[in-house]
Amino acid sequence: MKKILKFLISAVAFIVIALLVASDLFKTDYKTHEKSAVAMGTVVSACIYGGDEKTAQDIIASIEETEKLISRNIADSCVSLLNKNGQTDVNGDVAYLFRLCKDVCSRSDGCFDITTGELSSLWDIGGEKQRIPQKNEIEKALEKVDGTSVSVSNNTVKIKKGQTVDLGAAGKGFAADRAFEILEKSGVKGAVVSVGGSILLYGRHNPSQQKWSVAVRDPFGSSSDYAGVLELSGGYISTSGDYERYFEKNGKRYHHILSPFDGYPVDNGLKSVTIVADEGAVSDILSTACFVMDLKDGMKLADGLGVQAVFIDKNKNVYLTDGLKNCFHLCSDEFNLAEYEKD
Amino acid sequence: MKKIKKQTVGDLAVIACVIIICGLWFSALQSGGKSPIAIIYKDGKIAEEAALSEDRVIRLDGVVIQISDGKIRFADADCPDRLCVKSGWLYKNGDTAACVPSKTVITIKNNREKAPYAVTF
Ligand SMILES: [Zn+2]
Repeated sequence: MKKILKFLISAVAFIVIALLVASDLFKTDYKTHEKSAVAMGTVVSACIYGGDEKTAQDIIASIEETEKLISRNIADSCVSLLNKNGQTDVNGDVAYLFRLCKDVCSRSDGCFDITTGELSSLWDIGGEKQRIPQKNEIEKALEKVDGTSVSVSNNTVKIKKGQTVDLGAAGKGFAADRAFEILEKSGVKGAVVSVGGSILLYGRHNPSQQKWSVAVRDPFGSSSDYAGVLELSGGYISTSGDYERYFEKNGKRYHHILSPFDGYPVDNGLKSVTIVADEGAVSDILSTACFVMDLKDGMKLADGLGVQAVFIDKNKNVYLTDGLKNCFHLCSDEFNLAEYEKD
Repeated sequence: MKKIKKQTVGDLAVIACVIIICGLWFSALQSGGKSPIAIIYKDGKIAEEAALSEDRVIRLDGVVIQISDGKIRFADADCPDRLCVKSGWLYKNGDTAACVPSKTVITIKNNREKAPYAVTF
């Protein structure tokens, strides 16, 4: 009897300890390989879980390739050729990106528009020549803005003469989509790719399939302050906010997200919009589109397209789409989780 | 009688194994928690891994980086926008700042501090 009892006790103890060790093991992240660089005018990084360093290098290289392909600051990029010649041939991925931009342009009633290149050059916010332009300069630049005149047939993109395309509001998410293709071929277990604030969460970071945590920057604080944290099992996240690039003059903030309608920085009460989607370009494009639209119409657009969103307004109210209500928590009690009334 | 003794020895062996495994496990966890460092990237390559415990100044092409009181920052830079200098001090695990024109990135690694996997901004 004593023997059996002793055996049972030690067996139970063994199992309990083994389970504790195992569960901790399962919750320990895979070995990581991380690489950072500057590309697309921002910090880009790839952190690989359960894979090799080469995959991280390949991803950084592919982001640099994407920059060469679509940056309008690079003379022989396809966007520069398009702006110079009014039309250009592009690869299938870029043609798809142009179609996506055109689609969101029409769905957002013109709030998202890639033909604002001349307008953004005029303001040059965050650049060396940043200034408040004259009203007549803005009006002249606005005459060129018309996203509906972009046409994509097969792999040829055309614009109206004199228009200037800028893919700055789509390119980072697009680069994250390219990174996904590399990860699929690499056989790594998981990865986080950041192209500036556009994030790809791929696979898993440990064997227990714990969710990834992604902080949403506090739009009122410094870059190391967070408004809240999203717990996600994967996907793409992008944010647009009035704090990314801006200058201040006479106590007023002039930020880089310009209205395609009046040509001035958007001023509709929003501080930032974060989009969670299953495509990088979609999350990037919609974060700008929703920021320009405003809370009411932006919510409607996000809901209609089945993407999730976090809106933060100037009164520190945080609004979530239904799909995020169980996977977002605030980091600071300065913010208030507000209920959005749908009509 | 002999049989029972064998059983006890077996039990002891099992328990000893468990204790050793646990010991190894916890020591592994402890050694994973190295003191905080800043990884400095220049042109996509690691230029320096600097311990934040030691105050010093690091000069790289185009930027001056300063470590003081367990924090690090771009103290000065040749770039026109000086956004790097405006980013201020970094000290939390995962904190990142960059000087885009000089292609310099600073990022904090602190295994003792929990951080989100990414930050969207
Ligand atoms: Zn700088």
